Amino acid sequence: MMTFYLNLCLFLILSAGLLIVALRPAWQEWLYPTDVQALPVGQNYASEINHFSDEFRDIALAKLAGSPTPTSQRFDFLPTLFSCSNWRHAKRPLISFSSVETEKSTQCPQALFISGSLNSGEENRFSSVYAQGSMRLGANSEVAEWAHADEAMHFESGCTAVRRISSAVAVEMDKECCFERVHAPVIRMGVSPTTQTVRMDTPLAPANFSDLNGAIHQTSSLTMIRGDCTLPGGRRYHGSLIVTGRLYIGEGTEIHGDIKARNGAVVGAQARIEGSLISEKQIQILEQASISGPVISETVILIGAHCRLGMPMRPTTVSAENILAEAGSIAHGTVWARDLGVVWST
Amino acid sequence: MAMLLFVIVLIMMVYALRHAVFTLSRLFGRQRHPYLDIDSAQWPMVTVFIAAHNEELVIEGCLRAIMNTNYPPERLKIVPVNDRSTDATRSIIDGAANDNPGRITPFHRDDGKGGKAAALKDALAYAEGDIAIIFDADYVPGRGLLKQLVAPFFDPEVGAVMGRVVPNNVEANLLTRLLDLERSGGYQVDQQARMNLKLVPQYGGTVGGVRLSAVAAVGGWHDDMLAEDTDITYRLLFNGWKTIYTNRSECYEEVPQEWAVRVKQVKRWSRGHNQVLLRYWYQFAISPYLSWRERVDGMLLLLVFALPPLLLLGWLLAVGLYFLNAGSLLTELISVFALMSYGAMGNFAAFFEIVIAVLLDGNRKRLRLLPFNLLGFFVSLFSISSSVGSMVKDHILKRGLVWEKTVRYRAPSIE
Repeated sequence: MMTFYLNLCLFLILSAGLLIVALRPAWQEWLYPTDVQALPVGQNYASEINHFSDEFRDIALAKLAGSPTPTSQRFDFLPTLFSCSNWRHAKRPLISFSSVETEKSTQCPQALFISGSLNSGEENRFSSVYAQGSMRLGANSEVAEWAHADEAMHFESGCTAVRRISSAVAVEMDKECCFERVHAPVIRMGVSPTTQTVRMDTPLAPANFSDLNGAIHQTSSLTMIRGDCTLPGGRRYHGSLIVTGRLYIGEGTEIHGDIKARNGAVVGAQARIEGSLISEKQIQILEQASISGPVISETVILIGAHCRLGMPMRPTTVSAENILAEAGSIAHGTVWARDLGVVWST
Repeated sequence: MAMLLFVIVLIMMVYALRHAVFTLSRLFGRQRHPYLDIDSAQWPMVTVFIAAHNEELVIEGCLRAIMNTNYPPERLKIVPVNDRSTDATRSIIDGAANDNPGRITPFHRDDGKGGKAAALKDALAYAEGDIAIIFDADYVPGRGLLKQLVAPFFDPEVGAVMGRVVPNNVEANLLTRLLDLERSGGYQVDQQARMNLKLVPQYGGTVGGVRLSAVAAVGGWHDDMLAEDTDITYRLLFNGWKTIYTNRSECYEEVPQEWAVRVKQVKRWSRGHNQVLLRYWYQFAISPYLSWRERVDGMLLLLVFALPPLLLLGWLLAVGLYFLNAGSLLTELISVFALMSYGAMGNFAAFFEIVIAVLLDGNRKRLRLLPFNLLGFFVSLFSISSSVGSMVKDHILKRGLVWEKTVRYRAPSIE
């Protein structure tokens, strides 16, 4: 009997000990809280591409105006440092009071604010750069963080911009440029070596998605096709379409509505979509096709020569893991390659 | 009896496995945010509905936050839905409408059926455009939130969108801190994993939106459902539409600060969810639009509020069989059962989901409170079980379901 009570006591002590070990930190955190703040939610965050450049511009302009800056950021001024070899060792963000023009290769590990334009030679390395005028970076240059120009921006062949590039006017990227996120009213991806062919001028035959094989009427303006689907060329469709397989849009066909093709889509040459094109797989847009709404793929988008994505008055977003744009294509709005985007030319 | 217990253990193991797969997907899988990148577009006309029943403490802050978003004002219609409020909600809404002419269209509802679903159903007559975004009055949307919630609707297959809800009154007491952990697990891991794996992300009725033509096509807004959000999610899904979860579209909300309020909330969710289960399980099971993985996950999600009574039954069986000396099989099962029960804590957002979610959110120290989630687990377990019991009783006595509003705590000056 004695042994039973001893064992019981031992069991109770051991259990209590284990519970204390497990619950003590919890108990302590409850009584003496150390981590009780709500998860921070950026109330002002709006995913704008020029978020960082705008922030930097505001600080730099405040500095130039002599007014108090939002941060204790200190700057160096270029006239005292204006020798390219020194930029490499800059310890603070730099401000230039005038345009910067140099044929030499420039390296600047600090953010650079230019009250004018930037015209640089080849093989530059910038961390981040803001130009109140235009910006031209020579061949094989690199921007590691962001670059913004209030006027046009030009990247010569082989440039790499791995983060955010934006311009209030236009961005031009020559062939073999690599990019991630580009935003401008006009984004020109290379100059095509081939001349643009004349668009078909034949009248388009009106057609209905509901006439397609296996069409399912989802709403008055939305049709679903289960499986693959081919839209013949030279037709005009009104309404939106969901295809659970692959979609092929014939040459010159025009669609006034949004398109979802789960397993990939091929947009024929000179086809036109007045709406969005979304796919979980690859999207291939053949030459001279145009899409006015967002173009979103979860894998790859191949953009053919002379394609137009978005319109000057209707900017749009083109987004995929990888984007390959053939020289000569134009986008209006944002082109966002999550891994890598490349401008290429045959 | 042992066979029944075995089946229950098996079901619990399936759920534990599901949580493990979700956690692994969140940790190592490809994270899907396909529409998050859309920042330039011709944004469609959107109507924002704010459900408000006696919300004088919070409604003004919500209206102000929505007007402060970066969505084009000419494409945004704001409709505060004042559902029979007896406090100052009406005058606050009217004041805001007068101060911002043309931007706010108040909808005051003085009679009619009670409940958020019924109020929203009536308010839909005021909708402009095909997209309705819905907030509760205690929500404070950030500047970019509306665009993030609208972006997925460029995909014509998307019928509903859900953002992430973040408690803002975490510091209030132990309950709010536990609910904060639970919400993290539920959104940061559970919902995002379902998005990653192309399963069934759930529309939660607030911080989200629906495509009105899709809702109309699947039978419109049902005002006889206690969980109109789950009802919409499932009807859309088995009619060929998708629900999208956007983890980075975060919005603050208040969580209950009193256990009695929490119990009521859980009971309401449970009754609403089980109502959907009873009404649609068959249509869902035979829908031709679903992939096998959507069908399996959807059924598991549908059954989630039927599990607590099953778990209780399992415990009773285990204890009963133990005292009846039911042999070695049971002895082995008890340990497995205990393990699985442990894995299904925190209103079924499993413990490891919570841990990973909180770590992903970057809050390490609050994880120390995790053992206290046992408390939340037991409260949910008994609340849901009791709710299932009373649901059966209501069915037998042919009593209707009653909507009960969640109490608000915020001081008027805090937004």
